[in-house]
Amino acid sequence: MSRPKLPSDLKQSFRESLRNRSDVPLPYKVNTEKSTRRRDELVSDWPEFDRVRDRVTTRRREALENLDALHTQLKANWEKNGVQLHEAKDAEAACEIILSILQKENADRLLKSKTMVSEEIGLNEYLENHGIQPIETDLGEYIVQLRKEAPSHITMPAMHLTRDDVGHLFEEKLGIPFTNDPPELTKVARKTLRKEFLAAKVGLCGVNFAVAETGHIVTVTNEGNGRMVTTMPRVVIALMGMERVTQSLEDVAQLWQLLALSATGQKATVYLNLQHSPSTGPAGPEEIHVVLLDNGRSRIYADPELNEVLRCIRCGACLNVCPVYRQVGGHPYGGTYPGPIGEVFTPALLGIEQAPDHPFASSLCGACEQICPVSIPIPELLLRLRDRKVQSGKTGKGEDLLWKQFETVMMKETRYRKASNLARGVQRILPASMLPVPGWTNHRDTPRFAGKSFRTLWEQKKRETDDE
Amino acid sequence: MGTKRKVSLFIPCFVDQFFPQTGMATVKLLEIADCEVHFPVEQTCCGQPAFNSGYRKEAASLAKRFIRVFGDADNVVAPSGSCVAMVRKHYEELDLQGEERKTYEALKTRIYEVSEFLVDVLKITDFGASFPHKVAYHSSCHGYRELGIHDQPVELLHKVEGITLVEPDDRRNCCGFGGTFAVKFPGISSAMGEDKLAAIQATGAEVVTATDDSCLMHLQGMISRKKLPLRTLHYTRILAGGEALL
Amino acid sequence: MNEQLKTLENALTSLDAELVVCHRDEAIEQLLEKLQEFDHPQVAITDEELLQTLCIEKGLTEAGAEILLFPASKTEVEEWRKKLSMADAGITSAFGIAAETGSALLLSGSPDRRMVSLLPPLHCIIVEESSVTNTIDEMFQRWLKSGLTEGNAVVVSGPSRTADIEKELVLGVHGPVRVIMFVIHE
Repeated sequence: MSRPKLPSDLKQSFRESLRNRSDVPLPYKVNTEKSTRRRDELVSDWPEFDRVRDRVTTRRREALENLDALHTQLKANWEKNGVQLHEAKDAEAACEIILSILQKENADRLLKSKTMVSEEIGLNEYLENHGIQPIETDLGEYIVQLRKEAPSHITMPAMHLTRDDVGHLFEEKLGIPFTNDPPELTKVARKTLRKEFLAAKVGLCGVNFAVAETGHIVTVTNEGNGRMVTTMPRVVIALMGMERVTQSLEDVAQLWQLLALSATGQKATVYLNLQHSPSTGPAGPEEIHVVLLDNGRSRIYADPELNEVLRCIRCGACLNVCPVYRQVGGHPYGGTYPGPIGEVFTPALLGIEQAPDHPFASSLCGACEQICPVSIPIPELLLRLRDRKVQSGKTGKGEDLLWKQFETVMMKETRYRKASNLARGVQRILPASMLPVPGWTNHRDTPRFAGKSFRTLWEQKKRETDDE
Repeated sequence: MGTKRKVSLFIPCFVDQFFPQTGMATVKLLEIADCEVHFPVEQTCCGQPAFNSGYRKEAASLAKRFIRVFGDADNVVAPSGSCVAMVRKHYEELDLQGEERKTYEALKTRIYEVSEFLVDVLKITDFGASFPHKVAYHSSCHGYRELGIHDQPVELLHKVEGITLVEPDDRRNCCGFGGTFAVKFPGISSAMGEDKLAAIQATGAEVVTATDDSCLMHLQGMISRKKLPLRTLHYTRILAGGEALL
Repeated sequence: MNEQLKTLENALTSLDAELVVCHRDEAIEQLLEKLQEFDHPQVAITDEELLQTLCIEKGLTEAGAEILLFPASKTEVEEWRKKLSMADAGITSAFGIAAETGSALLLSGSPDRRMVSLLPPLHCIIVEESSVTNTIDEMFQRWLKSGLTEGNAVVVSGPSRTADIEKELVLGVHGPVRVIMFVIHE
């Protein structure tokens, strides 16, 4: 079974992305900018923003502190509401559970609304290998599925594409005359997918939150596809990461508003879908299954250095504001979750050995932490993961030695003085291109050592003052 | 007039070696502000480069050393938001025990980036400088996001005679330096730098200033390579030297 | 129009949705006006109390509309869903409306009425003015106190939309393309 692959060399992957960029302006740069701008405008109109953000952060923190108790309460409510629970310890288990539900229904296809967790477990490929056609119904997901690509963003899957890209894709794959008009392209998707919705036997949705107090399964959407897949088929599957539990409906109201603001710059999304129980009347789903996925989450949960990352509500705001993401888009990161949150979540989920460079793909500018609606200290977590890489021995001998020497030099002022004077002397005789830091000189002129260091100037000044 | 305030200067290693004039400008500003300035000559590096590279053991040795050198100081002032943030914020993450921890807890409340000390503590904003040029202020990320520095340097610069101060319209984005990031991911780093320079150039500024010479070093490296009609200058130098500098 | 309704109107305008404020007696007339673009409108109606009190079904039938009635048994569901998907409008009530965001909380009830507000391209929501609150938080507070939280629900804020292609806003993806809120003013 194949799950999203990580690049064997992240630096190389980023280099290629920079080399291959052709669209000007870059769609991901333009699109992230648009999103961030709208979000900023709304925040400046919302005086209580900081207060709401603090409260939501606290509530998310409390939810995670009480995760076991909330799970117990949630499971009891699901049982009472007639929701069937399946716990999956890893991706393989989750895929098998979903397949068996589909097989029981004799379904040859699965209608899906947007879920990053299904990407994480490699569901689409797994189902295809078992003769079942997964059908993405979120417009952006539909587009990337037609392109046989992974989404390049957590909330805007096709944000790396231009309208022309989509137009050519639909022309080629759906056999329609070329148009690059977004409303026209949207109509085509609506028409195609409406037939599928009416015929669907099984639908699958992601879960933004599950409410411990009532058992509601909450999905946030704008297009209505989330409602379709949870209302039309006889059987509904909700695929949920185990950390997405929230205490009460009251909390949902606030989380939702912050999510809408952070993800798309809306005060509220068009739909907040709250599934509670199977339908009792003639219409509507007769079975609701929840697949509760661990897949490394309980390991993160038990890790006090990293578990703050589990507060994440997957709004994608940190991607939009990240100056690195803006340069390369989502695909070069590999894995399921790109951008700052992915730089933390990917190595946290899979282990630093699997993604040793992810925590380094950041200038530590902190824009991600600043915009995060649940105040995840992403730079701090990246720094802890960097430490972990060093601990794991994944750094090279050369680098280990370099920093050891750095320490040795800096531990003694006389040594530091000698070393810097030596470097100053070397720089005087060597051409600029022969400096010890190759990455620097490809793009930038090298800074020159000053003729005299500050400490030398200071000592001169002292002497002059003392002489007076 | 009370007794002079004692200030211990912390001059980060790369400022010491590459930008000594920023250090001298800082001295001048503090002296104008009637401070008694000391430079503990034993100081070297705060440990940030090692820490940001994941080498916490090495960083901890340097942090402990820093705490020994500056532990007794009344006030520590440095012309770098990033290095001050390293001490004030990130030393928390290091393994400091007993006395060391206690000394650190006290030290972190007495260490300031220059503009914080001048504006927030001393409440002095006018240093009588003149600089009749269009200057773009770049919010260096660590100062801005980890220490909340923005208004202080801007207020100081606004008091400079003849200056036209602007800020690039790019949401205070990172310039792309990021310490070893600039070497580990040089392509991304310089692409970010290009965006930053484009935003700065769109303001029509002749000079870029910031709280951190590290950002300016990266930008200056690109400016020189591209031969752009721009130059970089640490804001303390504008305040201390004024017009004489250009 | 009071402040709250003005706020609601502004919110709905920004969502590309519409607000009609009318008296109880005018509800059917106002509805028909919005449906007049259709020759013989096919309209689905839920069994909600307010809609019955207002005699919506009778009023629309008399004006020549074809009413899609809820299927009585499972065997009729397939046919009903197809018709519903072709219908011109779905009419529902709502538990409440939050003025600041133009959000309506719909309770699916039993039998499940969710498809009525989902499949037709026009969704009309009729509520009494007393159901309007200022904020989403207040609306949720009322819901929590109502004892009606045990069930499926959906909050709707305007017509379905996407911005997946170059962030350009497009209305009407899988859900309704048009949403009109009717507030019954006493």
